[in-house]
Amino acid sequence: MELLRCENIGKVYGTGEGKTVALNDVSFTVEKGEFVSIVGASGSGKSTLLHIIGGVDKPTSGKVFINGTDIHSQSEDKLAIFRRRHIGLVYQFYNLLPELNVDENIVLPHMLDGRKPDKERLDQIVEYLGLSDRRTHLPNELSGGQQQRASIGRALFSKPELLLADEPTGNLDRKNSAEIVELLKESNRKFGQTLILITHDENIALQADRIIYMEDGNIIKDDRIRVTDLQGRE
Amino acid sequence: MRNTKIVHQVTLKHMKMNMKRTVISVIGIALMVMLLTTVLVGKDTACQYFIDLSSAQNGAYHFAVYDIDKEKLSQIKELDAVEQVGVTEDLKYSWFEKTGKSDKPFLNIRRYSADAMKWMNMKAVEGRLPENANEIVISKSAIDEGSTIKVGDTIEAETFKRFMTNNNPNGATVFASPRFEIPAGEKVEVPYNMFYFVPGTEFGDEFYETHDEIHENTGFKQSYTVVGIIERPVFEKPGCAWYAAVSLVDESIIYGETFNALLMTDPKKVNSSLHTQLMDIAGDKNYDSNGGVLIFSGSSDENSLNFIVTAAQTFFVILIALISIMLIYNVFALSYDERVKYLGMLSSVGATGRQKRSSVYYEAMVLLVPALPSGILLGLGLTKLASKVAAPIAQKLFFFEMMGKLDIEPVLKVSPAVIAAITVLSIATVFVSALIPAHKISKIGPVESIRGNKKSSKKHSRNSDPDKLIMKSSEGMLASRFLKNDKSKSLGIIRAVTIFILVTTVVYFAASLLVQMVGYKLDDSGVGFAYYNDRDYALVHIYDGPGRYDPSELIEKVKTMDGVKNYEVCKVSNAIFSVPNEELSDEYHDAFYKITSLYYPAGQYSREKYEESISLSQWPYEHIRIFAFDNESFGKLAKELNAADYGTADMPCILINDTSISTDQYGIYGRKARDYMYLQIDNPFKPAEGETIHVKTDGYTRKEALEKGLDLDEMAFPEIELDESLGLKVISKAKFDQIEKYIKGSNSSDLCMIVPMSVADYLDKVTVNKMDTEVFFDCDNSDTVEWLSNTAEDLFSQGEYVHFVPTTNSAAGYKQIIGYLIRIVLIIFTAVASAICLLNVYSSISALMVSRRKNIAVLKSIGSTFRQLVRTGLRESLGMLLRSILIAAPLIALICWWLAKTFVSRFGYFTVSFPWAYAFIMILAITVSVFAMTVICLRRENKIDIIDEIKRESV
Repeated sequence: MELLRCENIGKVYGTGEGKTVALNDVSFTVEKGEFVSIVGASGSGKSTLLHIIGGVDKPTSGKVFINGTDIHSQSEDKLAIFRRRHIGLVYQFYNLLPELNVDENIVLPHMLDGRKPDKERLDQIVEYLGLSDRRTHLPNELSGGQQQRASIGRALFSKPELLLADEPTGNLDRKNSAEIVELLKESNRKFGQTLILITHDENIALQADRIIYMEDGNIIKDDRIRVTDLQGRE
Repeated sequence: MRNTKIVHQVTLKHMKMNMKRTVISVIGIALMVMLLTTVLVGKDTACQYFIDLSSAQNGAYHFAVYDIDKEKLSQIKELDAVEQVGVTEDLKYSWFEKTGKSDKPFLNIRRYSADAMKWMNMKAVEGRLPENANEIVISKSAIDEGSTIKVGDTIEAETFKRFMTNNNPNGATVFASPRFEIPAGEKVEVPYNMFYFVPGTEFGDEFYETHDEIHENTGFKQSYTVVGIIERPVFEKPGCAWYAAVSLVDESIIYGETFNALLMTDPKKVNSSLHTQLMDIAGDKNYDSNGGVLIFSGSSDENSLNFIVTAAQTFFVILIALISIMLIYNVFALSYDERVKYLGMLSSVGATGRQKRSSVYYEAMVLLVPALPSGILLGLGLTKLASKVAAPIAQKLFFFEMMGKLDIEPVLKVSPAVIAAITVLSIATVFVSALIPAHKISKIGPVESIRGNKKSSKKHSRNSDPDKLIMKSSEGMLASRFLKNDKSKSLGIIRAVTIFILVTTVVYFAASLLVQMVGYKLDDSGVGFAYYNDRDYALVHIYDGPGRYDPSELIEKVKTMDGVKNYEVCKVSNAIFSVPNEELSDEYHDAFYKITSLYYPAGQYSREKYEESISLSQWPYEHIRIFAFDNESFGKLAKELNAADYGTADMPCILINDTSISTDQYGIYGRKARDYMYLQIDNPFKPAEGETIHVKTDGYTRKEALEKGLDLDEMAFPEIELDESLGLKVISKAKFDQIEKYIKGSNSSDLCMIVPMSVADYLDKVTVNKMDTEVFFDCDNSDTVEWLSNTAEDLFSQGEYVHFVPTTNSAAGYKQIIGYLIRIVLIIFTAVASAICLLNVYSSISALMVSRRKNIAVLKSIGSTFRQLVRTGLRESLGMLLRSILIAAPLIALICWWLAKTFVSRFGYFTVSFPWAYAFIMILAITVSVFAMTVICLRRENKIDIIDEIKRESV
């Protein structure tokens, strides 16, 4: 079942001589529950693509459909609401709010949606992320790996259908990187969330169901590396 | 300098990169300099303007003495306070052959010394002023009225006095204006402003049938060369029979035996004893002071407003400096993080603490370079603008309108000393503001600098209770966390808001104290009571003994004159009635004792001594001022005060339960008070409502005179002689503010009571001295006003105490002017100080939002709407506002308490009330401003590119 459809996405920065084409007529679809890695050199347009899919950047042309909704045709506020309900974003630099502790950062999108956080779910997530003894700590009191776990917790708490991770291990050591990827894979498997992950690391990319290769704003290769019974996962 | 060059270059780059904040800082400092300039130059300009107005009306001299001889002049010159003396001499009249008007056939030749000419504002509109005794200038009015006289002409002057004879045996000839009477068969010298009957005209021929105008030579003869034409001098009245002609004189060539002198004094040395000395030398009717010029030169006397004006000025300057220090400090504090980073880079390559410090001072200097001159120019501009706007109102307050609008523009009074003071103060303020940030920055090491980790690793307190979390909204949680965990950022706003509330409230409170003080000081300095103060004019007759001028006819006439409305007659006694000491309250005696004790070394005057002196007193009474209103008005007042017995009481009176005493009002001969003290007395009288108060009349009864062996033939006795004090029934006790429709006399030092006119008429019969009469009315007819003005002036010049005054043209008017000045300064000050504080608040909020840019991007990326961002921002702002109020409230309380205490200890009793309503409005204003600024800044930040921000490395 299709969750995401990108239709002829184009993104151009600047005009005239300074014009840079970041994405060039990119189209692809992602099925529900799929784990997709996007790889490519720096400047290939993978992060831009992820941000456009995540609704935090707008395409110059083309459309993004999530569950059939053209997300960029919505108003800014509606898109924000859509984002907090359907998309979980994990960034390379964690982007936690430094003034909030771990618990508060995790439940924030849920609370922004006007919903009361479920204490049991919070306990579960924190336990799952291995942050039980860090719940009341502020981000600057956590290691990089712990911060990234917290940011994954924030992305997972509202049970979004689509999880987008922009080089989540780019700032971490090997051990922490492996743990973070494992966490993301686990959530993909356990909660059936669709995961799109951007990485430079070939080994991490190979753990996905599918790898999309990008170069100069184009998809140059779309590899399904293993046959998976997606229906069975659901 | 070379060592710091690179630091300065980086600092400059940093300032350029943060151009918006740099510009706001420059504007803030420029506003501070502008305020300083406005306060310092403004005060000098305003005082100079009022001096100019006063001197345009009366001359620039401080005192005038008349009919003195050379010996008296020497005595005056020896007075310590007298700095310069100018002499004037009236040589009387000479025929004016080139007159253009037959009813103005004379020149009044006066001679002025060069200084006196200057002080009387004599300016040549053509030619020049006389430079020797053979030169003369003529009033321009002569030319305007058709005279052919011109510069270069010669005048042969042979002066004479003007007399008129009344050859009609049937009765006196009485002129109404100028008021002047020629008894039958007598010859009288005419007043200086007497008109001339032209022979050959109907009026002239009729007059000369029974009268003659006789000229008696003074013996003075002089040939003059006309060297200039001057504006009509103030002593030349339009209706008189002559034009002014002024020549030069000095003491050595005084012609007559007596002459006049104009005095300039040292403002610091003018006190009440100078008034007494001048009166002693010249006589009380031959001495005059130029009130307006004296007051605004800061030399009125001991009760001068100089202290208040200087205190206000100092207060404002200190406050401006404090606001500015906080503003500039805040700017440096806000840029602290960035500065730490770039200085960290420099530090890591070897920049010393001193070099880092110098970067802050350098920034301060760079900010000052454009801010100082532009601030001074803005201040001069603002002062000019304010003086232009205020000038017409000031003229109106002075009541120059009656004389026609004066064509005097306020001129900026800018002295190099004031500019130097502004420069020094501004530089000092800016560098003091930079001290703490410079010190802090120099203490940061290279590692902390590069990491931007300037704070200690103190752990934050955390919310560990998930249940509490569940109770919160996202906006509430974010706001409380931002407030709690990002104190350094919110501190700037809290500081700025606190300063705003503090400054505006304290300024208002201090200004209200100052205005109150002006009121006390001027009431204290002998200003009379203002009754029916809402009326335009007052005609006052002061009783000067039996057989003198009876004003009843004039008073009756006023009632029927054109344009006269809302006419009220009052009587008032002046030191002719007393009440016994034992009928005065303990509160009154306590206050009196406190004031008296200040004239003795501390601890040397006991209460027992005071009691003893009271009991031994030769005159165990205190004077009471009695006001009388017509029976109908008194009845109305009694009704308003719910006086139960009015109507049945035989001799009713209303006691005014409000008086004061100060060291200015009460003195002991030969002693000087240790300090100034002013005490308000809220209940000076013992008798309660329904009881009797006794009034003792002054002067002796026939019985007392006999007992004392006085010569009965030389004494005058009242119509009704009382053997005992007169008992009046107290039907009510009132405060001045309850009766302000009738009398405005708060803070008066007099004991006062009000009686109906029927009682006043009786009182006039039981004392030799009569009460003074005052008539109040509105009038919109300029002819009536002019007639009354001339009549009163004539009567006064003949020695009768009759005054016609606009009710604003009194010392109470000066009080209004000073109060008005303070209010103007207050409004400008509060407006500009608020602008500075609001700039401060804005730059703090803006800096906070810029620092939150990343948070905003993150919040947006995880689904926060703009409305949620605004709600979060407003909640956080509300939290900061509450904290500011909590910080400001005790500070305001402390400063106001200190100010009130200082005023009370310096001036005695003070009615101090905190301006709650004003403070509330200010808090409301700042709340609205902060909310609006928060929304504006959030709207700006909402436009940022989320991607750019979330890509930026954080934490």
